[in-house]
Amino acid sequence: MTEPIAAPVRVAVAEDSVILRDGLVSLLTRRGFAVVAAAGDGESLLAALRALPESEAPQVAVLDVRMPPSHTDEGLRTALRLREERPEIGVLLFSQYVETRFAARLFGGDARGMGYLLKDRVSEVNDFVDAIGRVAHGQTVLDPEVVTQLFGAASSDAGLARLTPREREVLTLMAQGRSNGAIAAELVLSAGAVEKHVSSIFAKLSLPPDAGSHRRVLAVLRHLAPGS
Amino acid sequence: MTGPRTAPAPFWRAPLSARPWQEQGYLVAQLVTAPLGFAWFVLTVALIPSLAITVVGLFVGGGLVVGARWWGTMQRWLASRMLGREVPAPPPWRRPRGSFRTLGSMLGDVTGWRALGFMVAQFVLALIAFPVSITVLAVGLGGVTYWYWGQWLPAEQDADGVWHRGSQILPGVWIEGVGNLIAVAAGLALLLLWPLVTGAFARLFGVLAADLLGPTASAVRLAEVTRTRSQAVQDADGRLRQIERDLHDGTQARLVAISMQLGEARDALAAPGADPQALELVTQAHDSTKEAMVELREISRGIRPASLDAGLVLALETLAARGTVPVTVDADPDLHASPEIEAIAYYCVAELLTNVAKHAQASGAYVTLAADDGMLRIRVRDDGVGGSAVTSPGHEGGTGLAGLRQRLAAVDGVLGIDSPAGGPTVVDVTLPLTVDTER
Repeated sequence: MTEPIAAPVRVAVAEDSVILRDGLVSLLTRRGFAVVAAAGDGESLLAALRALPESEAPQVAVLDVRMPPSHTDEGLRTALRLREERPEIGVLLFSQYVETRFAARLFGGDARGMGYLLKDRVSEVNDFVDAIGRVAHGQTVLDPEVVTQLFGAASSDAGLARLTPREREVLTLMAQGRSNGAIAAELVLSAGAVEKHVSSIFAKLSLPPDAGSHRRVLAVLRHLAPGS
Repeated sequence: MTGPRTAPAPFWRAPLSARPWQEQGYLVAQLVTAPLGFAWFVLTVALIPSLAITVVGLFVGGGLVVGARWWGTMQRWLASRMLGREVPAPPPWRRPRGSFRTLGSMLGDVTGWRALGFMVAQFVLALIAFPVSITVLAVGLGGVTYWYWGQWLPAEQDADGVWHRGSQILPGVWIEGVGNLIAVAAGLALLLLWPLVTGAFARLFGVLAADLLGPTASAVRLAEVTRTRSQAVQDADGRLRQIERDLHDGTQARLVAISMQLGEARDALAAPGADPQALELVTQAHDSTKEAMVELREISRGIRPASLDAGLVLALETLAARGTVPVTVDADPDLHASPEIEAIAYYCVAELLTNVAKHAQASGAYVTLAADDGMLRIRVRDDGVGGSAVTSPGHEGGTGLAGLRQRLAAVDGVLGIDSPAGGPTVVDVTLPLTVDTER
């Protein structure tokens, strides 16, 4: 936040509730983002993005999962299409309820610049704004609730069952895309201790130990996601 | 099949119209089929007592009773094609689960027995209807043309020695000369009578078919009650969905927006130099708004889970992931039922999983869903202590299973439970994939 003359992050918003959409737009504008497009459903957003010149293309698209016409998973479908057509745009999906299969589909491919948050998180304005920034910079953001549910869905897994409670905590934070340093700070551990936990987790889950920060989120997700 | 029949032709033209000929054709068809039907009836009645020695034999008898429905179908088709009389089909026979129940349902199939009754009545009526109608037609045609073909009759000598060329219809009464005119008149009268005869027999057969091959009055009423009940279930589900959507689009969105603004206000007031009292107030308002959001989400989920809009299996996976006991959902992701059935199925599984968490002391639960033969079959199994039983809702220690049964009964769903003391508990729920309005 200390860089003085950074260009504002460009954001596009798709949310069918006018109240919430207006609220989001004014919040983001006040927080120094440039909202380049705001639409009521996924199709309109994609159309608006196509009309924008290359220089004004958004870095992040914030999408509600449940939008017209069918009110089921339009946001998710828009996200997947966006990923295909415009992979350089980050996608932050937000939803009224946690849907593990949606998360699995969203993160099934390239998880860079992907986020999935519960709608309620918007009320913690700083965290929300921070999440948009992280997605804009190509990081992965996962709602803690999503991670918990992924654990729940995969709880019968033998590898997971062998994890110690501490290792589970570390894994949860890893799945949220945190770095070793951030995990150490969060759990009040030394960096060396976190590294030991991480390599132990990777060994127990039979994951490649040399994975980098995003690849390892992906690896963890792939491991946890149901039906994969 | 055939459209509504045209108005009857005036009586002097009736013999030349299509209707009596169709009806006569129908009577021929009845004469040809009636002996087969009667044989079927005799076979059924004779075989059932004699085959009763073996269970397999009873199945043969039951098959003949249910098979008589096929005869009814054929006869309804005949009546529709040849008489233009539409008889609605009775409700289809449904095989219950279990072979003895199947046997009972076969032997006691009222529709089958009514079709057997039709076979007997049809046989008697056809034996009268065909000869009478064909005689009237044949004599009528013969009479009208008598003046022509009478000349080739051989000459015959009467008892008094006089030669005659014509038919002797009574001793000493010969049709010749002026008699020719009388014969033509009588033939004409019979031809005009013939459509009335075929019409009367056709009506008799029509009444017979409607009374014995159509649905009974109680079946018609049951179908009506089922239809209105299904409508009520659908309406209720539609209203709940509307309420949930209104909450989501309106109140919930507004609360999220308010909490967002309060969050911003709180952050602004946290800056040095701001009023600490205002900060405290706004923080409280922010916290209670967040609580309200959680409460509203729970209420909204209780009304109708939003996840159901994306399909039952997905909704159940979401439900399973939220629970305290690890739950495995095993189902084809493309499995679909009508919305109101999915809602009822969802609440059943939710209630059963709540029971597992509350009473079973289980380490895991397994939900399997399958659709076959128009039915949705759900099994919820846990490895807990068992001993569940159906008690009345609200009863002390009750598990709400009776309430579930009531809810399922609204769509003809059934719930079976097997829960020996010591476990495990297996609950089977079966319900139709759609609340069809046809039954």
